[in-house]
Amino acid sequence: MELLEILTVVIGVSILLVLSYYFFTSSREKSMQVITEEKEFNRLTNDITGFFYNRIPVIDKNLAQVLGDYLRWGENSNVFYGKYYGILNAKEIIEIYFNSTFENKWHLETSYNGEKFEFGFETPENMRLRTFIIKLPIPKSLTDGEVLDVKFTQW
Amino acid sequence: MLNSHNGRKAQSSLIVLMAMIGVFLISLILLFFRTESFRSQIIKGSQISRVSKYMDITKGFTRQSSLLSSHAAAYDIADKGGHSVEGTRTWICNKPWDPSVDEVRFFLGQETLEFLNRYVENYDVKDPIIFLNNFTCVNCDVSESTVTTGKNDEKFDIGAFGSDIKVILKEDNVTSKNEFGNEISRVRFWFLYRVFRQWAETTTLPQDICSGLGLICGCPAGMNRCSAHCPSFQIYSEEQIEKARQYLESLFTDPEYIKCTAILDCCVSAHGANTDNINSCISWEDMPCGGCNREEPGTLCGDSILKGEKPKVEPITIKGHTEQNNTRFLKFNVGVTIFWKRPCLCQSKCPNTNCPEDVDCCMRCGANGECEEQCVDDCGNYCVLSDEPRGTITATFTCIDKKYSLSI
Repeated sequence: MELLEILTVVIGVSILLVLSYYFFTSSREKSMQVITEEKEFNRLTNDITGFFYNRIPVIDKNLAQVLGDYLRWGENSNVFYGKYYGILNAKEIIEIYFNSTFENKWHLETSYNGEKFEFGFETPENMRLRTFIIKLPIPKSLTDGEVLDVKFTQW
Repeated sequence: MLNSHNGRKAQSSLIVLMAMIGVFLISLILLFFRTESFRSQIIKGSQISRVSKYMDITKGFTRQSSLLSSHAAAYDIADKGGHSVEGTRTWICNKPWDPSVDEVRFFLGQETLEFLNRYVENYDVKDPIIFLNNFTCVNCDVSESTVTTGKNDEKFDIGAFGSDIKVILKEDNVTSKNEFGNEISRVRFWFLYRVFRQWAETTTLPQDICSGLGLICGCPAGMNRCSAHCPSFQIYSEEQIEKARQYLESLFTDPEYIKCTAILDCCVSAHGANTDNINSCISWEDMPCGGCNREEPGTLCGDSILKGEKPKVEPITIKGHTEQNNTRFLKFNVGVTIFWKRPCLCQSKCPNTNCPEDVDCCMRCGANGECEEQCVDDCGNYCVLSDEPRGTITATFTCIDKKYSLSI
């Protein structure tokens, strides 16, 4: 009888331990997932915020400006920035910027005047992709305020 | 006895076991709630952080839009030489008539605001829902002293006010003021303004044109375009405009980037009766080439009211120079209108006359250099006659700065 009681206690405690372990690990996993997701979102949005705010030394232009100028005036990856600066390789500058955070795990694409522009690396299949649509104002004299959707994907 | 002792022992161990399980379950439930609240805190924190990130990116968008709008506005205002109802703004209207810093500031701010709001209106984000409302004011942070000392030669700050951003993400809803300052660098708008202003205030072009009116004395009576009525006055005017252009170009410290051109848009000469009893140049009020162009500025938003009234002249469109340059360089156009009349002053002798110098002078020289009509010297070296030559020119001076290209 005593043995049966001890056995019941042991089984009961074991079940409770297993349940609590499962509960805590799954809950922790969920929390970790939220935290990880948050971390990735922050990494992505920090870079996109920097895309508007960070100015490239010497030429004193931000990347959104370089991308806009490239889409509107670029030829063979280059944009002409006047006699003082000459030609700037816009594509290279944009790629260096995103590579510094996402290495070779990003892709940026947009369309302007019916032409598709792509930067970065090929998007993999069977991987979780994070996509952010950046609203990019496009330069235009006597502007009509054109805003483009730039799709940024990271994995 | 032994059985009852064993039964009590078993009962007490069962009670202990039940108590343990009870404590364990209560702790578990408490922990469950704590963990859940911790998890929901994390989710809530993450949601708030997301809203703030969306806010930052939207602010980045508006800052970028303000930068592009400033470039477009600088290009447009420079092209108009400030602002006028139509055509190019006149900077010399017989005398220096250049716009003040505040006047240009007003139009630059207005134009930037207009362009900026077009970007804002086209901003459409549905997930999360982001509302962005229009700006009410854009102000350029420049002053008479910062412009004249060259502090704004390559950069100036703008401030944009009056907009809000509202981000709605699930049940969270955050509103924030969207007001900021932005440095507009590598735009030499105020540099060109400063040099043009220096030029308008120091050039001798109005006086030079006045000095050339005597040439019209030798032309037939009536009024017509200079090319038909008085080619000598047209040639003279073109020479003076070229001289003024060279002087303008010489004021730029970096000629490798700046190229200036000048075009004589209109030249009309007339020869009529002298009605004014004076012997110097005065304004020819009803001149046919067009008047001086300008537009009254309004009140600077969030700033002092513009002071210093300029002479009012009815705006008339200058026709002619409407060249549209499709490059991304800053092109500053400045209009010049000169309209003089004065009595014929015989200041020179005809080549083939024998009159003694400084005594006799000739009103009209013949084709062979002989004096066709003598005027009597009764006022020193001048002979004031009843004839009155009138001449008017309009010209556009343009300088293109190729140092930096604009984002337009």
